[in-house]
Amino acid sequence: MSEDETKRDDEHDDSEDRAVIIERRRLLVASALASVAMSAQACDQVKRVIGIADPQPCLSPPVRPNVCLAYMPPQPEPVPQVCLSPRMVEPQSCLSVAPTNPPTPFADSDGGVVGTDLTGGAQPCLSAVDPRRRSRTTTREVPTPMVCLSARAPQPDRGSGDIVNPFKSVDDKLDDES
Amino acid sequence: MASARPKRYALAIELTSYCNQKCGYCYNDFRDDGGKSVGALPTEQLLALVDKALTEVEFDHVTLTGGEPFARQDIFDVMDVVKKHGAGVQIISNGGLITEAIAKRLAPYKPSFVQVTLDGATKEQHEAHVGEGHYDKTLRGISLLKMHGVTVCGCIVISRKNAKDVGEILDQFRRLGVKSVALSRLSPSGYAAAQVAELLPSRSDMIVALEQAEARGRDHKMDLQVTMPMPPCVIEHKDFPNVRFGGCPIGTEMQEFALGPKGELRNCTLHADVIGYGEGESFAALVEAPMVMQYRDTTPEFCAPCPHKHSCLGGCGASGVAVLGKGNPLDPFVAQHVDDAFRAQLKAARKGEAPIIPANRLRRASV
Repeated sequence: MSEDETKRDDEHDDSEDRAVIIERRRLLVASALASVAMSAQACDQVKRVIGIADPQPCLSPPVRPNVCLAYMPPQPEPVPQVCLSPRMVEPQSCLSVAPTNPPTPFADSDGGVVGTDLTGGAQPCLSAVDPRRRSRTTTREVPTPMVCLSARAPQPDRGSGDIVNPFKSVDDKLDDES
Repeated sequence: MASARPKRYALAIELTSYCNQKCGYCYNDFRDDGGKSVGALPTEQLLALVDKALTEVEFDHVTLTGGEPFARQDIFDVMDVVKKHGAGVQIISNGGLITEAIAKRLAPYKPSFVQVTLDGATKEQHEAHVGEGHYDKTLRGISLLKMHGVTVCGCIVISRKNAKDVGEILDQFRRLGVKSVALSRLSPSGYAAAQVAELLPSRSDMIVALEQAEARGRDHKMDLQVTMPMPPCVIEHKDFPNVRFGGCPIGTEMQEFALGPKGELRNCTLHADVIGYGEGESFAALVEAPMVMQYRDTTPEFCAPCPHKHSCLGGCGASGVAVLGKGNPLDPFVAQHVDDAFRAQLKAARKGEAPIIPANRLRRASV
């Protein structure tokens, strides 16, 4: 390593990079929570726990898969984002408020979508695909949603605003508070 | 029945482990000894294997790579096999072995493009990345390809050594008549894992590089694509509307498998773990192996709360495994800022106090 580079390292402090990444992750989580229907009480509780005054707009759409290393010419259509592995959303890893009614199937996905565009408004579910139905490039199927991220009424037997979410740190803090 | 075969986006065929360059950022494990311990399949065996792969799986296209793919004279025989199956061809090369005769012979095959890498706008900067004596040869290779009507796209491996000069490198590409460029943010896997302290760009480095790229995309209509994962917690993609971003495609329809120089199938060119060997097994079964299908099911601990974790995967898993070890390690590009232990290791290595011994070296040493 040259003298210049060593000097640069001594001078360069990456604490700003670190702070930005941590803050951006916090905002991504906050914006995800902001798109979930929940009671005012639950929303306040979550916001207090993660330390935000107001829900932020979503910072980024989901990352679409691409071909690493090789350049890929622009596609006329958006690059399909189809996960080959069906992933069942388990209750403990779901962000949603548990629904009162059976989830309404949605048909705006082209199969096994990985991730969810959380840019606000009513959104499709978070990769909730019936494991018996597997997406294939040759035969695309509409996934069967199991648990949905989008707005649902709270389930009575869980109590209004009972939040089930994948955010371990948030869960832990909620537990701590209760 | 042919129509029942699985369909996948791409197969990267590593024709040989030999390369004329000695790049510090090489993601191949076999770069250590110049590929001597790995070698390459004999022509007959290679052609049969490629034919088998394309018969059993419907790939949209193949990417011919290496090592340096033009180090094999039978590269045209491989392209004949690919052509027979109706799949597209693209080539990743350093351009240094391309002669007038090769360029002329290549043109009728109409590859989608030959991707050639320039890591500096000057001879000194480029050769600081790839070894001495290659800059002029690479420029000549690009010129010959263009002269014969072969589409060339550029590539810059963005490291901490050249991130601030990305704009000048793009200007050099533009002068060469190349307007489509892959911005390959260094992902330290394979040989490059051991060079992580020297080469890994920071988030700030990448922002500088992307700002310069954005200006070239906007002002000169260059088509620029970041070809390694760039997690949204690190970089806001929307800040760079004239640069395209992508993520790891493993386990999706967009996956590009790697067929290695020993005939082994891997999840991508950066991953060292072998899914299986196509010679004795069905490629159709291999592309649906658990190592592929379950790849996206686990994500790094740091990503647990993030809504994008299943699409982003925390960046490049291959470089995480290579540098930080098995489990679900975070991409070192992210980890350098948020993993205290790794951060301290990098700092010490950059001060010359203690080198980083990446996990892939430790694993090799223990075998």
